[in-house]
Amino acid sequence: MRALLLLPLLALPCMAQLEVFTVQGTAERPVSGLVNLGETTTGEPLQAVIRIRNTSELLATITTLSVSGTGYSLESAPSLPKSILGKFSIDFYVRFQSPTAVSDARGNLRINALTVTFVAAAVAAPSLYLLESDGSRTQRTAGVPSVFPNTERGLRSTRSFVLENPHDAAVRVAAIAVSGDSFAWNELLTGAMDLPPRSSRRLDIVFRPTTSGLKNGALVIDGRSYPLEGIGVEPTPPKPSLSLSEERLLSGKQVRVAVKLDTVSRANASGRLRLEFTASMSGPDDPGVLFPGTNSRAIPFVVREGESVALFSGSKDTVLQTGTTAGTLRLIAEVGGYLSEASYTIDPAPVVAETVTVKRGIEIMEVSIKGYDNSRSADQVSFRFYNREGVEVPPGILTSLVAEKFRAYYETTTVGGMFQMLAVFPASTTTIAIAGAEVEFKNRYGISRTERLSF
Amino acid sequence: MIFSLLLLFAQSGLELPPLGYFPARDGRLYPLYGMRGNLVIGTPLEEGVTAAIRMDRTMVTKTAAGIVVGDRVLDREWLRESRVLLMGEEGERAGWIAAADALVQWSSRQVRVAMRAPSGWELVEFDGSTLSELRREPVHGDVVAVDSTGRTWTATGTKVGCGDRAWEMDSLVESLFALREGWVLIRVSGRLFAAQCHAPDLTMVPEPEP
Repeated sequence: MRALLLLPLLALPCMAQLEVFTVQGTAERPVSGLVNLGETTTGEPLQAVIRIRNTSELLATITTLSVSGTGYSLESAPSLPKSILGKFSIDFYVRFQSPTAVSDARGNLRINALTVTFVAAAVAAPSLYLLESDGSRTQRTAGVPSVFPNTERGLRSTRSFVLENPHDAAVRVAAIAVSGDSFAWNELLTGAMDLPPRSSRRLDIVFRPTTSGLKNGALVIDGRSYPLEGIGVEPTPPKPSLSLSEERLLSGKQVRVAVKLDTVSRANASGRLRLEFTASMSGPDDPGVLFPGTNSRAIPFVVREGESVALFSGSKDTVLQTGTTAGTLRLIAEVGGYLSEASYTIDPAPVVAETVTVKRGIEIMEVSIKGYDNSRSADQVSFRFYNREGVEVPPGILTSLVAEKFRAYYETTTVGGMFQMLAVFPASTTTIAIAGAEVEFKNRYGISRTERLSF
Repeated sequence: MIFSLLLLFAQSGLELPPLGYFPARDGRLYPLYGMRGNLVIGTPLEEGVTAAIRMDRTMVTKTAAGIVVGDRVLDREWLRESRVLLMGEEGERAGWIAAADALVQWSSRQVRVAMRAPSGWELVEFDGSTLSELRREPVHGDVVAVDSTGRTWTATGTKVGCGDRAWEMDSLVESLFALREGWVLIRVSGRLFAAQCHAPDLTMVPEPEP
């Protein structure tokens, strides 16, 4: 919208208690008989803010408020009659807009018995229209934004405008340009443009945000600025899927999990991989089922533009610890509104003796076993000892029924299916001849036996 | 030779004994439990505890005030010299090596520690009974540690090893930290791995986010 050029006028009382002003910003100028609105182009409005102030202490009433003259109108005017309290004021606009060129357009504003004359001019210029998707068009005036559709960062959208010469004479556009980093001509347009009478020209402007957020630009035609607005949005990340380094999950393992994307991502996004674990037996939870990277059952990841796999602290996969309890492990990857999940069964298995340590005294043997029973159902442990020739030492197999001990242990354990057990073997003579041992566990899912330990 | 069998669960049968206490990336000291492929951390010790060891049921912790054994505080003045603090069954001992500013635990006649001298790392051997220094020798590496079985671990750049075994890490080894049962913790770029010299596996240590 063009700036107004207001000429200083002599203040005069319009009524006994009402005074009239033009307002620019916070500055008031008293109006005497004539207000010059200045010059505009055809189709572009000029307007002035008019303030009527009641300078008395008494109530004043406006019964007449109108404007006459071709192209003149009132905007935001009060309905009549309008009363104004003492020392109060009201504001409204006097607007001029002409579709045709005119050099001296006059209008009269009547406020009760007072008349203020406005003068303005309009020079011939093309009109600008925004084409809508349904084929309709809306006229644009300077200062009013034309909004582009939300567009993904890195993509582009186009809006079409029509510059039309509605006049019977040719008009020349001396300068036309698009400003703003995110806006550009679809086809380069430079220099002056001549529009024959009653002709039009289509202008296509592209919106191509390189970052997300609100973007501003302008179509500037001979100094008149038509704002352009658009919002760059982050692209939606591709759909994730889960990939494990092992086809089958076993207890007591650390495996690698990756979150793959079904296409190369155009988006930067944050996501989360989490797991839910349901043990196949009752008892305390297994805190060993977790992502070691966070010591928890959830771990964040990011999706980066140009990548086809999510990154965990910069790495293309993360470690998942399966714990030492049989059950069902459900992995869920969440990113950009997508949710991908997969379930894995950790089957119950025979006891695993991970470390066996033998300590020999003169008349005593101590066997320490660290391992896990992922079904928490061990009921028997047996030991065999061998001499240096590999012959089993009497009395042969030594067996202990341990179901109750293990049951009591697993009722309160805080380390899942892991256990450490110490077996003490008092001997009647020196143990120096003993050179090997085997340990065998039995649980509901089978028998496991260590290799023969030599010592 | 006649055997009978007495079966016991270690530590009153309720829980695994920790492999040791390690400083996590959140600055707290945590007990570590477990085995290859499955490590679990426990509740952190109170803030201000910078090192801890446990022998049988007695905790020894290091704080700014000094060394705390049970409910007794041994202040820094008292700890200007190396001290044997605890003696357990079968010769196991815990002590304070003043020169290394370290709590250590050993069960052999000698105890070895890795110490950083101005000229580089040195392996220093002390008498297990008196903690008097027996000998010292230089050792090459950016980071050096001695595990609980007496093996020397060295790291240079991204490579860490003990004896004939070596691991290539994906970033620079920042520290080595020895625990019980020959475990050594290897810290690289915000992550922590546990290894034993006799096995090729690296097990990632769970750590809370800082």
